[in-house]
Amino acid sequence: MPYSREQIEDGSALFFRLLNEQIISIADPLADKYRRDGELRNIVKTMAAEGGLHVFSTAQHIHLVSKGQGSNFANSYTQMKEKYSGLKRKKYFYLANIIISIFLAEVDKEKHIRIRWEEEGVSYYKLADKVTAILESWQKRQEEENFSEEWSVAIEQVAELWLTEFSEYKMSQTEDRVEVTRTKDNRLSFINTALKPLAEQSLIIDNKEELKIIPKPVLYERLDELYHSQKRYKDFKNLIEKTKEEQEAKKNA
Amino acid sequence: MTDISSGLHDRLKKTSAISQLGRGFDVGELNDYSHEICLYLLLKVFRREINNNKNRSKNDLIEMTGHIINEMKLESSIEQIRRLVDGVLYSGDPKRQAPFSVMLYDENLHSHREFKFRYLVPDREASRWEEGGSTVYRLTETAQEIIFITREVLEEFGFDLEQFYTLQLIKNGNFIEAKDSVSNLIARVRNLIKKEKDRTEDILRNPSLIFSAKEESKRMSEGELKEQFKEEKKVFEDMFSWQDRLESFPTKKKKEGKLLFEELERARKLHDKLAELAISNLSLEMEIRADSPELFWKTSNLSYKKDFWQNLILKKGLPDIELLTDLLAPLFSPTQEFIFPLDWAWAEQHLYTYIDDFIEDEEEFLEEEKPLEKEENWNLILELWEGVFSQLKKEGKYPLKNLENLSEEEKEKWLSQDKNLELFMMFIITDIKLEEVEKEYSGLDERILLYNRLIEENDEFRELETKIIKSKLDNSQDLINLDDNFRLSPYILYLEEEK
Repeated sequence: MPYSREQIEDGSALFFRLLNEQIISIADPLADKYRRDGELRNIVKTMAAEGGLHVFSTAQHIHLVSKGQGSNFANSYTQMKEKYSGLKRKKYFYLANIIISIFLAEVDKEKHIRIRWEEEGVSYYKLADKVTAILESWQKRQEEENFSEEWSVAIEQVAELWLTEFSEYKMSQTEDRVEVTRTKDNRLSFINTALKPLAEQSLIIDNKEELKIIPKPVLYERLDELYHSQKRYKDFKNLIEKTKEEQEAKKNA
Repeated sequence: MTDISSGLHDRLKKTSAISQLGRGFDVGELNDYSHEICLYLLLKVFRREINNNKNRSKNDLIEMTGHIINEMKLESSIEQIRRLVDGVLYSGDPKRQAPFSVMLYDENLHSHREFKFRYLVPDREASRWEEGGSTVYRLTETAQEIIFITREVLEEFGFDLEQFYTLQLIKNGNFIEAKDSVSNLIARVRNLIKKEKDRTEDILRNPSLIFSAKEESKRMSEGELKEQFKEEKKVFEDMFSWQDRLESFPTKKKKEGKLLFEELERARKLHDKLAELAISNLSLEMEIRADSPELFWKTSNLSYKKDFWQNLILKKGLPDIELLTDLLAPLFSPTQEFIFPLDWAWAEQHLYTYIDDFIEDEEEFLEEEKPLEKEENWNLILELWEGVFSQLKKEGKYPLKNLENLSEEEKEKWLSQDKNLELFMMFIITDIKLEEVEKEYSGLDERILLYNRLIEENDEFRELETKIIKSKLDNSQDLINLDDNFRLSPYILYLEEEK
């Protein structure tokens, strides 16, 4: 289907704006055109797909996010992955992933429940306790559950790092308070590190003084789009099955 | 006849919120007084809230508590004061910032069920977190109820009843009590305003809410809503009509009355704001109903919390921990520098469009200001593109990376024509089928125009007729850099037969 020159111009303009700003308010005139013009949406989506990106709109915003595998773009999450890519440092990245996952599980909610507990935020301490409890339970269940070998090995490393190598927290050198940004090798500062990609993209407010992490409405918009969809759930389950099969094949080879 | 137990659960909620206040923590010798100190603190916070005073941060709470203890002529340490404040904010270990939670009997379920509550929650608007402000607290409805109950104002009193009650007090010249009652009115309006704001947010976040039957039955029609506001407005007017009679009262009474009517004026303004919000929510709903009926079908009940995390990962682990990356990566936006082409070209383009619009809207004579577009040199364009098409014809593809290997002089030529950038962009964004046209016409795809002019120059290109030019990214290559201003992603143009 041939697109008009104007559509292509609008499409590219919107795409570049999204690359620049990541999230655009639906009140923007260009966003309004996008909402009304299906062909324009196709152009933007095609451009995004080319770069391994995904565009979606909510009642308030248009978002541009990575597609996961095959994205050509970097962000603070991929930079974190990069930073911990060495064999010995990989466990840091795994731990960060687990912390992000647990944080999301804490703040996520089922759509129709309108109580706003989850939105009040999670204290650093509570999150740290959750991480500890979950790692300990995974460790304990290693024997009876049939966790995959790869998972067990990774969890063992992560648990060692979190439970043994890290101290609980460190105090500020100058003030009488816990310092999470200028210290390292402790649990609370690593929570700060792990959630930094979310904070840098303005999906959460990381209140380092009150040691509280508050989810923002745009984070909920992303959770709704990404994890409240039947298709994504199926895809992820398929990915799990595929990985299992590959592991089987490798063992039998 | 209703059962005696009817409403038991709701009553228990209220009594437990009262009985838990100031309990469950140790402040040594202050233990005996902690309940009264905490209730007093809630009252003070509530007062500030009603008066739009934003000094309700944790430090302010600590200061207020200090004053209360002084006033009660009790001794305390700063640790005890902190503990008291934490005890109003959180249940259990303050570090965890947990809500209060009790198991209460539910007469309908014939079993106990959890009731979670807080007395104080962040006042999002007042907190200004984004600017690094510290959290400002406000009372929850649960906490407000404690204050209302202890004032013997029944919770069932709606806004209208409170209004009439106030009116009666004013009629009787009971200004001091009437002023308290106006404070209540203000509190109620503020609650309602908060609810309307939450509702706006709820609808925007989850538009399908407005289709739920339960919601439907609860909502008033626009007519009913306007009628209600009109009536409430009238009661305000009735109250104000008593203002004229103030003159006939003795001086002291007159002062009380003056203060009362000032307060009442605030209540009226807030009420107007509420009316505005409620009506705009209604029109928002209408708009969504009209524009997005498809939202009705979005009914997935999945969640990250329950399905991805609790039932899958937490329970069974993953075959490979790397899969977590696949799960989480899509949460993040790209923030890398552009590797798509021509962002600067578009910036330029937009300047032109903007000026165009401006001229249309404003005055004609500005036209002279329009930047001169560079003269298009089609001979040069055709010369350059002939090379690209020859290679497409020969090898079936043309990697844009090739541009980098050109001589400086050639690069100059490419960069001298803006049209080249446009053409590249069009090729990258969409596929195009090459076709010969009988005559050029305005609005003809520029790529087809290019192709037809190339045929005129060189008949061999006819062979490409009906083939499709597509593009793909070559991930193995770095960015193409022609000069520092011009960077392109390493795209490859390639030919495909028509299907």
